[in-house]
Amino acid sequence: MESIEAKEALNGPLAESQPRLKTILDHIPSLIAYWDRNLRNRFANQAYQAWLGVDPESMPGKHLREVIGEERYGLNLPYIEGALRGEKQTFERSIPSPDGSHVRHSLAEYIPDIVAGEVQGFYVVVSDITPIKQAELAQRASEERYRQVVEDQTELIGRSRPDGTMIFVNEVYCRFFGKTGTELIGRTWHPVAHPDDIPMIENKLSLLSPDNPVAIIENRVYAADGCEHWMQFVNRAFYDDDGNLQEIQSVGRDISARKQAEQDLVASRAQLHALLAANERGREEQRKEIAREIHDQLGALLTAIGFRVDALNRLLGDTPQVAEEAALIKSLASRASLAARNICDRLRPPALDDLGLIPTCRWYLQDWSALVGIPARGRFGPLHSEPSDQLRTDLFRIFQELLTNVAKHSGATFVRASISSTDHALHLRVIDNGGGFDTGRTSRGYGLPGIRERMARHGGKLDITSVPGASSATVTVPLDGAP
Amino acid sequence: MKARVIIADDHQVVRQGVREILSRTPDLEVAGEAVDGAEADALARSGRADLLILDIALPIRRGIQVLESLRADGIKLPVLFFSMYSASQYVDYARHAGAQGFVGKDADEADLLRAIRRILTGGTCFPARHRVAPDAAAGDDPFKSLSRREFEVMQALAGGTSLQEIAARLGVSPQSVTTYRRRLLEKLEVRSNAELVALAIFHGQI
Repeated sequence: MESIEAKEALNGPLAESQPRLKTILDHIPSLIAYWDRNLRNRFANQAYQAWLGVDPESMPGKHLREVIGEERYGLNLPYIEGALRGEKQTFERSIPSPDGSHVRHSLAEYIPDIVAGEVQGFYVVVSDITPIKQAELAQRASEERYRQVVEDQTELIGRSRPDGTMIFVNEVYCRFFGKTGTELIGRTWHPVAHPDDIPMIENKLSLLSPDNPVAIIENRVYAADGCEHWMQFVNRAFYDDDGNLQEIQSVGRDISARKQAEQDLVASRAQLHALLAANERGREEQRKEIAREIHDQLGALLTAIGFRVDALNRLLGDTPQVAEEAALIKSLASRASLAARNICDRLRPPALDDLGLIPTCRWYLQDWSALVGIPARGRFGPLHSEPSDQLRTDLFRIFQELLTNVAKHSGATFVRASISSTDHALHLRVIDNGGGFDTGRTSRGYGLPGIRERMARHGGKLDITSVPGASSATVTVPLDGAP
Repeated sequence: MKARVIIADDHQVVRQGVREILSRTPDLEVAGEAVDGAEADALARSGRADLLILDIALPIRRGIQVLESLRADGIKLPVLFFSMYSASQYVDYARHAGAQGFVGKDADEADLLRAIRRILTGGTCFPARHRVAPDAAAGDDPFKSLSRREFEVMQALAGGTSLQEIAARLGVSPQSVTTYRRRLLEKLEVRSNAELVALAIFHGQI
């Protein structure tokens, strides 16, 4: 029970504060009013003038229907009744401005005024949420556009949370993996990826950062057909203003055909190198074989012919004509023997197998020098260890090729050659004082590519320096397991 | 008493030829014949011979392996290589490995006998190596005549470094570098940086 005195006592400060409160309420850009349980207005702020074209001063005592019109009253009636039952109401309304120039998107709240369990009336607060609404609409439109763009793609598009959980997949993505969006969204991307590739993918994704938000990853996946496909995903990370990873958008395309072509190319190159190497080995074997045959068959016979002629000469040599003929045959046999030996040496000098790389190259340099008439000086070895049969053969053939190049092209008048080795590498070098050549071009016949091909088998390389007056070709081969 | 000779050759016609040559001499006789390297090695170790005439291209064990194995075991039996192979490929090796001579199979009977007899009297008989007389000027290393500083300047010049940069790097004045350059060009007998580069490449300095 409130006494009249108490009410009076309260009314004093209240009356004082009322104008201030009114000023504040009149400046709030929301409709604020109080309606009693009979729906008669008790208070309304200035916003009613701006929003509805109604003078708030004229409102007290008026019925709600009168103020907002029959139609709107009908619309709002369920909320009005709700508020009068004591339940807070919140709903949205589009309210046209009095001059009809624009519409306010509004959020209306009816807040019941309950005293001692009885609804006395309700407060009305209607806020203008037009900017929020517009932003929402714009976002929805943009999302719709995004969805359409995404659905029109032939690429797979998926978005995932930092933990890998998919939050979006497009049609193509679903079709490719033969799953529905529901099956994919809410789970991580891991099951579609090839297990062997997952650590690599995770590693690359973990390197994403605001400064480096894109990772292009090529990995294998299992498509709807159960087959393994090579995919390229362009992964873009999105961060909030504090640099926290929000989501990753992945756009993927099937690169199986390209991968296959790449693999085929690599395989075919390897095959080509292997074939070349096998071909070389075969040729080398054949040369060795032919040289041995010539040496064994022909050499021994020619030697024997020499012996027989000597014998004949002893028997009939008293006749000058016979002696002369015998000497001639002997000389022919000797020349044939020499020719056979030269052929054998050109096929494959026996010293290469008997004595090794250094003695053979030393001999070859002298032989070459005498043949082409270019003075030469060699500095050879000693080597830490004799190279393997294959390497020895390749190095000797390279040595021959380099000297052949000098003789053919350089116009050199002096040559230096050297072979040396360190713990880790073997160096073979041929230097000449000829005219030099353009190192950028391999116009010196097929020699240089052939040398590079031979070196590639041993992980070695060919370096060439050339200026007018001096050219140097150096072959370097790594020696593994050398002491 | 005749000197006893082992003939090791896988070709019967060759063994026969050598046997006939030896049989006509008053001072030489055949102590045994080997048709492969293993037989040659065994005969040589029997101690019944004064000389081993050894082919290189023998089956089972190559002639050079036979020689190496004999010498490794301290067997000093003189060895004369009688081979169709180029003497120039094998002479250095044969000397070094402890052989006493090398005669090509295209040699005259007289050459073979001369070699056998020379070796039996304690000598050696190798063909003279045909040497290519190297161009004396081109042979020596002209860079040896440079001082350490001149060598540094030479390397920098040949590498395309500017005089200013060389001066800065060596901590001397550009004038000093110019002086080093003039001196080293004189010593190397070249007239320009281009010639210097060529010479440096030629002598493996860069």
